[in-house]
Amino acid sequence: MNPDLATMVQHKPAFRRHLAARPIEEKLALLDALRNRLWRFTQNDQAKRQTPGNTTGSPDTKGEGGMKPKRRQIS
Amino acid sequence: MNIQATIAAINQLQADGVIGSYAIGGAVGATFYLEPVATLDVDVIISFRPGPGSLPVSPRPLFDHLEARGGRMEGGHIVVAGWPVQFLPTDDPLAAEALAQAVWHDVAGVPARVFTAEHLAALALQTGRAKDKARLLQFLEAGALDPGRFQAVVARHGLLEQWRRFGRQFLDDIP
Repeated sequence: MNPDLATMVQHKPAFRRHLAARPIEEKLALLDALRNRLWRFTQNDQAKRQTPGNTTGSPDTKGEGGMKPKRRQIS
Repeated sequence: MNIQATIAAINQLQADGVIGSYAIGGAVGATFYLEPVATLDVDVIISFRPGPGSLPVSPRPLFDHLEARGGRMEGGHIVVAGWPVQFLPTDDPLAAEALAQAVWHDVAGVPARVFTAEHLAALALQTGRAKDKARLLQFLEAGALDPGRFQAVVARHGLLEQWRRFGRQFLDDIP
C-alpha cells in the first residue's frame, strides 16, 4: 500500500466527507468514470466465461473456461 | 457516456410534454448528498402524462420519443447518452410524496430534479435490501438528514417499526 493510500484508509470518514462535499459536477463525473470501469469489468467477466468454441454463451461445463466442472454427487 | 447529457435529455422529455414531473432517485440521487457510489443505471421516478384517449399509465410514448432521438432499449432500461435509465412510475404514497416534494439542483447550468435526502433515506428504509440499508447508514453517518423531517416522513408512511428494527440492528453502538 503506498503512503497516500494508507493515509486515505486511515482517514476514511474524513475522506468520505471530503468527497461528499465536492461540487456535484465533479461527483457526477466520478459516477461516469465508476460506471465505465464497472461496465468494462462486467464485459471482461462475460468474455472470460466464453471459450473460443463456446460462442453461444452457454456454460462451459468442461471447465476450460471460467466455470468449474460439475462435481459428481457422492451418495 | 455523460450523465449530465442524460439529465438534459430527461429535462427535454418534460419540456416536450412526454412526461409530467420527474425526480432522480437511487444511487445517482444519493450522490447529490453523499459521496459517489458506483452504479450501473439511473433511476428516474416519473408521473406519466396521459395522452387524450390513452390509458392513464402508458410508457409507450416515452420509449418512442427517446428511440426517435437515438435512445435504445436494453433489458428493462432505455439507454440515454450512454447511461441505462429506468423510468419508474410512482406506485405508492411514499414515492408519490417524494416526487411531489423533490427539489431542483443545478448541475453546471443543467437543472436536475432530485428527491430530498429525507425521502431517499425513507425509500431506502422501505425497500430494505442490504444496499439500501448501507445507503441509509451513509446518510446517517454523513449527517445529511434533517432528523425532524426524516422522522416525520417515517411516521407518515408507517415505517416506524422498520426504523426501530434498523436502529436495533445498526445504531445501538451510536451514542
